Amino acid sequence: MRKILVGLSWGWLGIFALLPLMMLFVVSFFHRGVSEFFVPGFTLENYIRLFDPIYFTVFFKSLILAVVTTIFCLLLGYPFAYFMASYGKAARSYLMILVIIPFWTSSLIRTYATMLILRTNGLLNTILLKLGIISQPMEILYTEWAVYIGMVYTLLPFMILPLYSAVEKLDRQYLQAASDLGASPWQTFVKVTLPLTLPGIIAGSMLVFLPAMGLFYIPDILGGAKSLVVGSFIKNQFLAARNWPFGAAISVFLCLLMGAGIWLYFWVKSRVSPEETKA
Amino acid sequence: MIRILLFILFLAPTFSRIVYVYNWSEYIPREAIEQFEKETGIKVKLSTYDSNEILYTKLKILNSGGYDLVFPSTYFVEKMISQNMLHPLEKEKLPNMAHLDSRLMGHAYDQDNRFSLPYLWGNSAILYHKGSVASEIVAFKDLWRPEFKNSVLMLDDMREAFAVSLKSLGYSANSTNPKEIKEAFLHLKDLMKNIRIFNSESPRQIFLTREVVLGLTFNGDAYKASGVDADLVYVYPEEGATLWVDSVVIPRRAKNKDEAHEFLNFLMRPEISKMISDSVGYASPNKAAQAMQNDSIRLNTTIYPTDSVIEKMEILSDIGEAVFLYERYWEELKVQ
Repeated sequence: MRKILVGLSWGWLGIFALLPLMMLFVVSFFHRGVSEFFVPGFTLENYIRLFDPIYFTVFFKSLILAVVTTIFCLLLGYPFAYFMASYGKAARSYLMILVIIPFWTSSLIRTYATMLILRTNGLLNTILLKLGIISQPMEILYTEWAVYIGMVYTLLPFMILPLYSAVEKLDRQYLQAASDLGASPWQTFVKVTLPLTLPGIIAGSMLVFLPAMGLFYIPDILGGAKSLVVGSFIKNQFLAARNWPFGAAISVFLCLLMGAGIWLYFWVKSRVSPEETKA
Repeated sequence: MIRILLFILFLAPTFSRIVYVYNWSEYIPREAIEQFEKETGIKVKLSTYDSNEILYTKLKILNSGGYDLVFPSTYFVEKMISQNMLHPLEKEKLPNMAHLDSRLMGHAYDQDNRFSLPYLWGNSAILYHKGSVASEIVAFKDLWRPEFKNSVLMLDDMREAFAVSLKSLGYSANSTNPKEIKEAFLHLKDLMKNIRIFNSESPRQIFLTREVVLGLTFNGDAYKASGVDADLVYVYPEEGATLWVDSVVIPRRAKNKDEAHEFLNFLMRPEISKMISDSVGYASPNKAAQAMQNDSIRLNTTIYPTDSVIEKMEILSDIGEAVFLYERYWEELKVQ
């Protein structure tokens, strides 16, 4: 029985994950065709093209977008997770539900809803105008601001959940001990809380950073499709430009990049808390 | 029990006839489909797409099968014909062809209409908020005016965007001359500071929420938008707009070719073509249907431009390998 189940999941992964990846890898060395998606052959041209300044800019911009999104998520998510863990049981599960509820609707639909809130005569501007906080509607939609708001909003739960489980595990007696020994709250935070919750910070950052590199519909919808991110760039290569070999090469490169990121994560984690990784 | 289930699973579909239709989203009213199903007993399975590229890519992946009737635009018909993706139409099964407007037949993309017949047609020109501009908009050139910083909508379509730039420089929208294409690219780059958003899914909504002042739009969208907001004006630029025809074609390996012909003939029936044109806001290529339409539509120049305006328009054609150069510039444009 166990063998069957294991075989089944291997088979599943093999057919739907490994095989397509292998195909992608092979196609990334093919030539481009005018009337076919690719012409079999061998060329490194697609990889060399990646270092063209234009495409490099696409990568660099996406990287910045992902890093900044991760930082914002961390700045918002950490205090949230910290205070959530310090509440009573009932309040905690209530807050947890609030974090999870957005997952009940497709994130694409939520992105369209964000659009309604952010547009020039949308909810946000109307409220701020009525309250007299601003005298002229702000242009947020179709700017980088809108993209960041949408990205942080969508990915925040992925930061909060691992942070929360890290903070929850934190033994509060350590904090007590630190303050008994004369540490200021700030010192306690930097020297005790932060190192002990580092695994959560790293896990949350990975969970936000990796999807942030690939999400393309948020910059497209909220940013007005003005600046390409690597996700929409790959999509364009496969659908609009029909340059499958190049699209495949970008995907393979992105996979390698992400693989390096995950490796880094395990490496850092093993240095931070060796006993946990072993277990 | 199992036998009955198997029977239903494997045999039942052979009893009823089906036609798989793949059309643009919001491009055919439900009533038309229901009427066809009621008359013929043929079940219509409709799926929709948003761009020619997606249609083309899907058909390629399915090796020119999978669907029985699809609706590519002008230059994609040409591309599909040259790649042997289409089935020649069996004209004897299409008596309603007689109603079609000869102005929309026999264009370069399919000279004898061997593979395609027009379904709806339209154009891309400028829509603008009259109250928000200092002086009238008459040409594509006006999009570049400095006062429109961050207030222009551009269709998220490479060929359409290049057409605007090429035409404003006095070149053909189908230019394959690298020098002209480069010039058009640099000109578009100039326009980037005015462009607020690239969108071809629903320009109408963006105009109605006043996120933009002016921009390139399809005439059907413009017609619907100006029905809601009278401040919106659709204008044909003096350089000449682009004209497009969305055609009906049958993929080469379509399984239900008879049903496809039957449906196609139904679509060309004057009352049906009128119903479709009325509901989606694009022009019917059907003379008899046009004659039956209300004056408010028939005489509306947004939907049916005058002959002198049409004469100035250009149809986008397949530009072969030059498309690679366009693409390269298009990417560069969007990386800025």
